[in-house]
Amino acid sequence: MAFEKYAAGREQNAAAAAQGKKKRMMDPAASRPSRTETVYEEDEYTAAGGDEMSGPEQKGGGNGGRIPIVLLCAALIAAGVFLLYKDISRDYRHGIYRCENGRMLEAPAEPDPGKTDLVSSGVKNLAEKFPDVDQYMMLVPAAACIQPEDLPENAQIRDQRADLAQIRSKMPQSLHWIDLAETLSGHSGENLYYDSDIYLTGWGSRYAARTAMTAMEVKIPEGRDQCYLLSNTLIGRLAADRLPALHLLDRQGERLEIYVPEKEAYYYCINGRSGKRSGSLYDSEAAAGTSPYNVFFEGGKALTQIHTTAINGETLLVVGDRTADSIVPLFVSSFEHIILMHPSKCAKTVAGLAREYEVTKILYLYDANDFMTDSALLRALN
Amino acid sequence: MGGIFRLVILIIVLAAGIAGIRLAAGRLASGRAEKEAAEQVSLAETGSAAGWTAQEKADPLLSSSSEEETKQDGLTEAPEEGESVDRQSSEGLSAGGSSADAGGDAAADDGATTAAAEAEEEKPAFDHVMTELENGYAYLASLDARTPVEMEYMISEAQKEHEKELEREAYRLKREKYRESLEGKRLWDAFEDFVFLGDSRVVGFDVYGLLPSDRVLAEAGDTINSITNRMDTIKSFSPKYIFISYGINDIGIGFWPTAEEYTSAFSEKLHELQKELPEAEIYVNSIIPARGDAAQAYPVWQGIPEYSEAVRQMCEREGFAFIDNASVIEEHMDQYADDGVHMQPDFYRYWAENQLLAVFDRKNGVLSF
Repeated sequence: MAFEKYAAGREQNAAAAAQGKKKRMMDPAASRPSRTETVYEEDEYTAAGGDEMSGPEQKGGGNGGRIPIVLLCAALIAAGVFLLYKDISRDYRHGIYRCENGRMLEAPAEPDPGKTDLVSSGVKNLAEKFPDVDQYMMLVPAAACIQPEDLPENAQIRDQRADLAQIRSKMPQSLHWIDLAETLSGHSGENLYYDSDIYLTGWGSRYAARTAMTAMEVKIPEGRDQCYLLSNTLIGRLAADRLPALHLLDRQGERLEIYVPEKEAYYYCINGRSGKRSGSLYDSEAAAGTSPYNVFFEGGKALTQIHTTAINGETLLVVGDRTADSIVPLFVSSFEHIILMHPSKCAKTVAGLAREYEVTKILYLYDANDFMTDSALLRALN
Repeated sequence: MGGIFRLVILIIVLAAGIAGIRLAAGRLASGRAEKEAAEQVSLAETGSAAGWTAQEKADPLLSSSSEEETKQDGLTEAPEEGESVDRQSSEGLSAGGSSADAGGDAAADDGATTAAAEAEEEKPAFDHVMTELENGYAYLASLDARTPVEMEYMISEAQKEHEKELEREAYRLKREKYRESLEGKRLWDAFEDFVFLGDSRVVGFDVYGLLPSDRVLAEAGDTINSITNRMDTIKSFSPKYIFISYGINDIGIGFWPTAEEYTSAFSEKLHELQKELPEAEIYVNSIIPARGDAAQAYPVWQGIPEYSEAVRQMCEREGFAFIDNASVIEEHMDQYADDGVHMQPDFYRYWAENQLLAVFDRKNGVLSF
């Protein structure tokens, strides 16, 4: 039954891909009319207009009073076209840069010093309550910070690495800071982020996971990683800002890949809210759906427990946003238990979960922009 | 007037829509061509095409240089299918790019011809993506097929294995501590209430004054038959521990031409001994191999590892403790005498230590470590 769904999904994907290809193939002839066609349409319009205007002339022998109205209409049309073109041509809208290569990059957000202080205070309190629990923080920098060469020429963005350094300086000594920006900067020429979303790609997530595992001093799975393509129709949330016409024409989407260690541990996960158990961290229906990123943890659950065969006595509590969803699956071979909490959806507190699951490590894993703007973590910490 | 105004608004909307779509089409065509070109490069570089795995191009976190090397490998030594996809895709892209650029200039017929050619060229790349998707869905399906109950069982088995490993580790530490306690003069004092049976190699314990002569029941040329011959002497000591080391002569004389025949005879002797001394703990040493010229001169000695392994299996089967000397010998290869058969005096210390560790293992319920 499940396979039939995949097959249906696959056909959907195929159809979407085929549609994209077909459109592209047919563009010169159909989707994008040639200049010849355009001229023809304009001629037709002129001819129609001529007929329309000649009508009253035939009936009433001419109406010079309508000429200004027609001119006005023409002017309005020109203005409308101009405004539309200007709007389309803008390379910065609502905090998102549209790059020359079609990529969309979110501008780094401004950190809120007050919020950072509160987080720091929460982390410090937690360290006092649980002195044996190691706390780590890894913020995923914005793509614009790691790959600024794609930004439009005149784009001026914040120095997010400096912001991150400042946040780091405010955090208590007990917190282990994981500098992912440094790792990613060393591979900035690679496919680390989606073009139309803020999230890390499978390849970028792999870097993030390995950086985190190295910092947390846990065993990194041996052997090769196998790459699986789960979708080639991903259109990220940054693309939602584009005009509908543009959106429709760009249906082909991006590749969503995951990397799986060759000797991955066995595991099962439990939805913290419903108690539903599953042998998979992925939602196969979502992979074939319209929001492929929801393939991870069924679109992000409030609380997920993962139990694995990597018996090492380590229980990791990941407190994060949806950025964490693509990274956490890479931890399953390195921790016996993993608790994934999304503070924006979960009413529990970090301290409560740390006590309930007897965690040995806590990892705060956020997109840097989300961390700076979202206040759910504050509630969960304090 | 209101009608005209509505008409104007409608025209504006329609015109804006048409213009917008055309502008978007123009912009997207060029943008998409660049994006796809970048994707194809990325596809080749990340090695995800044709089932390449991430670490076939090396772990970038472990070695950036190796990553570059493997990337090059990925590009130069990629499977033919991958190469063909890469090549055809890039050809398709250049064709797509040119057709997109020419879209405004060329006639519709020319565009259609280009599109048809493009479609033909892009088909293999499209098929390749479909194969990749099928693999991805198959992986997800394999995960969905796992039931939590099965996974719970796997986890409980892993926990059991982990507990055993912890016990083994704890015992290793304990054993190491005991070994350290043997260092120094106390080593020979640790031998109590024992006899040592064997051939010329065992004689060294006596000759070098390491163990009491009367307890070393060994002579050059002895074989397992000596056990029966020395039974009365052995019984006279009523030893608690009996260490046995034969084999080099047993194999050399060719009386037991196969390992099976040898272990069969050896087993009989051991049971005979155990019957006479039911309280004694019997420890059988692995056969120390000959090396160098000796092994060349007597090819039959090249079969020593096979005989030794058969003895180990026999001991496990019959419940006798087996002392594996392989690691001790390997660690002290320089302790062979010039003849390639006997050992130098210093070796006996390590060998004796191994006997005592075997006693320690047996006391802890471990017959061979």
